[in-house]
Amino acid sequence: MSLKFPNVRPDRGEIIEPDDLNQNLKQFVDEINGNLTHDNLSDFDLEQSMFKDETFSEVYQSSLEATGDWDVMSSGFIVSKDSAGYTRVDSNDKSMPLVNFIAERDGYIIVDFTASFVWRGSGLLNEEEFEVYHKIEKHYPVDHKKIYWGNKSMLPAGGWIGSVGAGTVPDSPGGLGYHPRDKLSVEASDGSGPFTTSLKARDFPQGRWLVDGLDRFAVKFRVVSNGNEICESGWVYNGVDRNSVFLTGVIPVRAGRNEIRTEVAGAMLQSIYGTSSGIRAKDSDGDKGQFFPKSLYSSRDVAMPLPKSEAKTFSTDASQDPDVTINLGIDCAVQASNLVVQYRKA
Amino acid sequence: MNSSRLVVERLRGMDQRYYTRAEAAALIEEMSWDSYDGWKNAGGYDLVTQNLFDWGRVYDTGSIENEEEGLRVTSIHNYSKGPNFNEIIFELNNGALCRLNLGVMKNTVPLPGGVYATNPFDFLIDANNLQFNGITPVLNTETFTITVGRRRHVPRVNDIGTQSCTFGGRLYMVNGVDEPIVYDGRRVYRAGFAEKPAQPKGTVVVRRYHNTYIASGGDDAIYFLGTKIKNIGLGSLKPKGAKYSGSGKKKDFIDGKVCGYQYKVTFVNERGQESEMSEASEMVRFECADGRKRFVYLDLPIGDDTVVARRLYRTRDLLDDFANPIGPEFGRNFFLVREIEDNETTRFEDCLPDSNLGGLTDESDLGPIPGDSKFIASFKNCLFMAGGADNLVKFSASGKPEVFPRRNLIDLGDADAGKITGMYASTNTLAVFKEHGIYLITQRADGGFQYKTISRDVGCVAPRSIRDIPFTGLAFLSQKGLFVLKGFLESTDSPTEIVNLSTPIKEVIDRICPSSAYASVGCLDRDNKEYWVCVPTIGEKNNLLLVWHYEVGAWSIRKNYPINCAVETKGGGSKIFFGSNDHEMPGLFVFNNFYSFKNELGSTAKLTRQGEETKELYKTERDLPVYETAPLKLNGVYSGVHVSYVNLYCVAYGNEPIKLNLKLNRDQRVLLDSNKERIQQHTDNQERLPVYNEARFGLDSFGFHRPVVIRFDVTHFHRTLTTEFAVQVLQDALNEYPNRLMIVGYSVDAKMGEQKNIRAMTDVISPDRR
Repeated sequence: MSLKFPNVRPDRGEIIEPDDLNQNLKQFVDEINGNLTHDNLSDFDLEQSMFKDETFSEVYQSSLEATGDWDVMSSGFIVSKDSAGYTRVDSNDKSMPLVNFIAERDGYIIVDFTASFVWRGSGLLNEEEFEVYHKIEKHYPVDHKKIYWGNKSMLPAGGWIGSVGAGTVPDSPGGLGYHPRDKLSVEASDGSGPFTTSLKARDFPQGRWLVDGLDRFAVKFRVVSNGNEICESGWVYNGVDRNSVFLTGVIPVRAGRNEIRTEVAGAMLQSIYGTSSGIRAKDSDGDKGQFFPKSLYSSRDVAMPLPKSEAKTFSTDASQDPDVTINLGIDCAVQASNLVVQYRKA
Repeated sequence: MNSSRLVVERLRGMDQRYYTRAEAAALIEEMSWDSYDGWKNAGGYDLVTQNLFDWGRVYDTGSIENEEEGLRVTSIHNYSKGPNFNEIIFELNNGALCRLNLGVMKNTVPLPGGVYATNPFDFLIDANNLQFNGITPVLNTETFTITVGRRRHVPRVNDIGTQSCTFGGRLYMVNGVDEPIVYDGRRVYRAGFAEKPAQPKGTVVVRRYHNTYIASGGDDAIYFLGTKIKNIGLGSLKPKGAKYSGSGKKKDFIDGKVCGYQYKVTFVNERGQESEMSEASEMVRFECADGRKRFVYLDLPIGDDTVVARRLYRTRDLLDDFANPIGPEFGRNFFLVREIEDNETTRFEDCLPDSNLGGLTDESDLGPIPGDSKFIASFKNCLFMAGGADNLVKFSASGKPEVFPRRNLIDLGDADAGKITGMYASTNTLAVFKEHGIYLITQRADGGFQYKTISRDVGCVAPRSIRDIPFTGLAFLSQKGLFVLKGFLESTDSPTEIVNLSTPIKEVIDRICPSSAYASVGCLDRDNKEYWVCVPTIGEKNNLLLVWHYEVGAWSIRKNYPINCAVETKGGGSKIFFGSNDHEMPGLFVFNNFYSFKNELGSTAKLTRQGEETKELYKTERDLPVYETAPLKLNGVYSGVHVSYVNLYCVAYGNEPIKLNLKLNRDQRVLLDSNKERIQQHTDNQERLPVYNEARFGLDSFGFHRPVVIRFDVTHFHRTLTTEFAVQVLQDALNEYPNRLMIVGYSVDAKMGEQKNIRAMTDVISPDRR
């Protein structure tokens, strides 16, 4: 309490007793010695020089940075493929940023956390999916056979996947299919042909719009103080292959040792569908349940561990370049991350 | 006659009974017992703002209808949260609710006379940022501007005003008129809820599907959405009720179960407190079949802006296998479905199967906070409220101070004992007072509460007088005086007893005005180890302070304490803050030993408001200490006493005189026309110590305080035969700088002699002498 009052009022004619002064001084010394509060300081200008560093707050930082190229994932924090839960140490014993400090008194912390991460891989689980997602069928009237997109691609299919690529050799990623300068052949409407046209592939890029892109992998981050969550990101999907999050939050801390950890979880998220049927709906024959939609969401975003990755070569029946190497699975690595903890003393 | 020396040491407090002990006093005014075992002059009080702020100005700017009444602080509360967070919260008689904040004056420029224009307090604000500034919203019809604010109920002078209690780090306040409020250090919120949630509406989720025969004129097929996935969906499968027999098929149970559900909603506020339950929804009925369970779609009610979440409760399936309602003893139980953590969502789809429902919550587990309670106390993790029109004691659910389950009430009965006049949590018991009764509420082993009647005679008349006094007991002011409740610990063997503490000060008690005594204020001054109760004398507001010096068990009195409400601060030092009921002495005061007088500095704060030329002052009081011994009865009717000297054992404080007079034979008049005076120094000039205003650095040395003997010569030969006399020690208006004094004892050198040998006849002719 900052309302302090002198205890003794010596008056004229009284014996000069040192305790009279000490008693009164004690009140103020007591206030200054550890009882200064908002009441004392609210409208009171105190020079910066009157306080030693870290009088009111202390700042701690911890960071993680991958070395080398962003494409080199092994030097970053590899998101676990064994669990869909939060992890803070990866298989290479690399840790997410962590701050461990001793608070000299109760207070609160403000955390600022940022992480940048990268996804690598096609996201395909198996050959069937490769067939579903990467095959580009013939597009009438352009004359060609099936083309498989994604040779050695480090990105999943999704949105527009083209059969026109810049590469001239089969090994270059995405380079299979038409090359920009190739002239297109077309079939006539009566099936005759093919006739080579003077149109070049680059002028009429061929490909496929993949409505249901492979945007099903996600990571999320959180910051915890002694196990209590301060802030959490929610799932960030692999649709953007290089992405960042920024998290901030505040939480009270008690005096003593406090550990502020950051954690990341990666998962394949899938919604599970239930089937529906109703007893009232009947068709004209009185049979029930015949015309009902077959599915509904029963459980959304069920998290499963990320798939293992493997480069696999598939022999296809495509006209050009029958062997396609696909990076099955997907990897995620946190390439840079930084945690700043401001400890404000109460 | 030889002179005898009569020594009296270890002076004690007032005892006005006719024959009492020598160390007792007939009157002690403006004095305080000190642990050196002496009586010193008591401190005084002054404005917390001293002479820097004119509290009458506050009243000028408020919208008060009756300006004659002047400024009053109607209630005051100490709010502490954590080790370094203490606030003084108070209300003014313009309906404002404020937080003392002397700091805001610091960087402002004072008015020409040195008084600051900035209020030394902040108005508290509510959840909508409206200030409790005492202004009711007013529309100016010319400018079409609205002056906004909030106003609290203003109690009458002889009422008790707002009472408070800290629970869970928050300050709960009730006054019986306004809604209960809670202050968390930042804002004021309504405690509890203004309304209970509206009834939710539910219906089974259906989908439409275009049937193939639409082309031939059929309608869309509407069907209940269903799922076969385990742990999802409402309803029951595989009923074992009715059977059907299809053509040529064997009898089997019907693959269809009609199910029914009801829902209720509660509101949750920012402090996690839950409202009453809404009415139950209409029954949602649907059929489960083909191994599929269903979903229910709900329209949820939205609460006011105090609501931050809602909780949804549901029954289990209310219908049996034959679609008949299950008995209410089972079917009407409501279980938690989900907490919806916002106040916006109006639609919710329930897919939780009966097996996964949350805890059972009975409607009677919840209930509204009593709106008209005047008294509030925290006891055994519950909040107790009483004083409403129903004269019941109601208590909250454990740990939930804003949830008052319907059955959590205690009817103390005994309507003839009057209305409830106070409640105080003390030593494992909650004491509840009526006008003519005392009841102790204790916790039972099962967590419930029970009560015992302690008295149907003595009761309490002043709710704010109740205080737990160390070494003494639970004190309260009754119609017959100040009583103490002792020995009511659950586990001690000491009997519970009610003791009249005020027996020695009967004359003083008789001065209390019975009709205004309700507003008496009690508080504890831990610094000086005193219990105070400020009482109204006949025809006056609170003004007379009865002081119980609890370490020594003694009474004294002080005058001119216009305490309308008081609070003792907790934490480092304990100080008494009080609000004045005297508009000639307006503001918030603090009692302190530093002050010698009453409102000495604060009285000058009016100067600048009135213009310096008027020199108008607020009231100040310069009451001086008086210690008058009990009448010393030395002899019988026919023997006299003649006092020659009075030796006063007192502390040498300096050159300011201490004074003495005598009273003879219980005469109200003093013996000497003018008080005899002696300086408070050693009689030997060589022993005198240097004093302020005269001592010089380099010449004098510091002194020290020590007890000395001061001799007063007196004579009363000119008066009648003296059989009893009393000594009066004091400072008076002729003292130039009256300040500290302390009496530790006295002795009287007196000549005593009998004029006749008197023997009692009963002695002389008693049976053993025959």
